[in-house]
Amino acid sequence: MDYIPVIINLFFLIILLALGFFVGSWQERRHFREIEIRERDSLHLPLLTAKTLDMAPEQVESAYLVQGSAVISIDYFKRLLAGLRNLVGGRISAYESLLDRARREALLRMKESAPDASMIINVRLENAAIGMSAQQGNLGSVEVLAYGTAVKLKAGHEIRS
Amino acid sequence: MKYVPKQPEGNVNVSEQNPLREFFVLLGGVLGFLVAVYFVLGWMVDLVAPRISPELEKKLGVLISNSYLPEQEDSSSSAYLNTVLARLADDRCFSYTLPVQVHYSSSEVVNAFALPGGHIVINRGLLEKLKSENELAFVLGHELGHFRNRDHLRSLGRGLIFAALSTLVLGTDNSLSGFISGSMEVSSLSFSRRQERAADAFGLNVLQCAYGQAGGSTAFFEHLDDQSQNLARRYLASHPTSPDRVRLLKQLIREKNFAIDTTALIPLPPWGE
Ligand SMILES: [Zn+2]
Repeated sequence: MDYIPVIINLFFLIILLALGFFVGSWQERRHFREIEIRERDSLHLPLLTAKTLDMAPEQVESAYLVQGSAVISIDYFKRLLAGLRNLVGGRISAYESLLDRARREALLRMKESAPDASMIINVRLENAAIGMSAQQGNLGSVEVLAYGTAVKLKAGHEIRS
Repeated sequence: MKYVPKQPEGNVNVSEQNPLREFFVLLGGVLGFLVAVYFVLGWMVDLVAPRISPELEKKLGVLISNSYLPEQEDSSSSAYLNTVLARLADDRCFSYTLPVQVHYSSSEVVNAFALPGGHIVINRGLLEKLKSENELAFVLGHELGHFRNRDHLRSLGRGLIFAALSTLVLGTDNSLSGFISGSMEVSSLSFSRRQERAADAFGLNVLQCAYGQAGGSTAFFEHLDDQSQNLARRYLASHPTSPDRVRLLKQLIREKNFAIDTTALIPLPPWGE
């Protein structure tokens, strides 16, 4: 019955928390900055959730499926923070940024896979919790899959809104 | 209407809260609440522990003590320890609602502890430190004091509350539960200083009653101090040792006019292999 194992455990816990917090928030900031730049660069490509558009087939040069997916993991600090938040309820801010990053990253990857499309229609988002802890009821990582139909219109047939 | 794509300013999907602040507020709140619950339940245990019936304690003993009892007992050492215990617990000096029993453990950790169901476990590590039967009788008397004051049931109750609370909050399979169970080990078998002092005073009375003198009561602590401080600190985990304890014992011996005859100390047999 020594206090030493307890202290060692506590020490490792704090190390893991510090690692999660510092590395996790650094990566998150970097990712958000990168997302903003890429979003600005792909602003010209509109995303539509409409299934169909009222236009003649001869206007369309090509249409094909595009998709992008992103898997983002939560860090140790946020996992513990979310666990604490689960006890009392409220906004789980730890998960908000996780899902926001995954969503935007997936959409960006989808857009970037169709650089010369006129638009992407019927855009859908799917998400899933994956990883070891997903089976235990905790959120470990999220995958967001974005998919849609990229449409390239013939020159001179752009849709007027 | 002309649609102009534009990037939104700021991110409405992510709250602006400082995560570190949120973490400490939540952690403080949850821990504070648990500590409050622990103390309220602990207070209730103190109320209930003296009222636990012998039948219930026997059941608790079967349920809990078995995991702490040594698997194989050295028969000759166990038999000897039980004859010393029988001399103390002869109804004249000590009686308890349950028959008491002492178990020899080959562990080298300097420790002895009282468990529900009238079980005392004494480690070889501690026995090796003893120099006479009278010292052994004092150690056993001290543990009997814990039975008399129901300290073993109190600390068990608190340990159970601690375990229940931590499982409730963290679940059985959590990165924190290892940490929690480590701390529980320390808390569940340890008593407060006040409880230890009361047990010391009781052990002294039992020793005087059974052996007609109080020799050997302070000797154990005195040569524990001769040993390396490490050993003393190990024993401190469940039995805080300090010069205060020796001082208190000497004061009690003086007040009650107990005799001390160091020439009449009974030698000990060798301990089991
Ligand atoms: Zn004690």
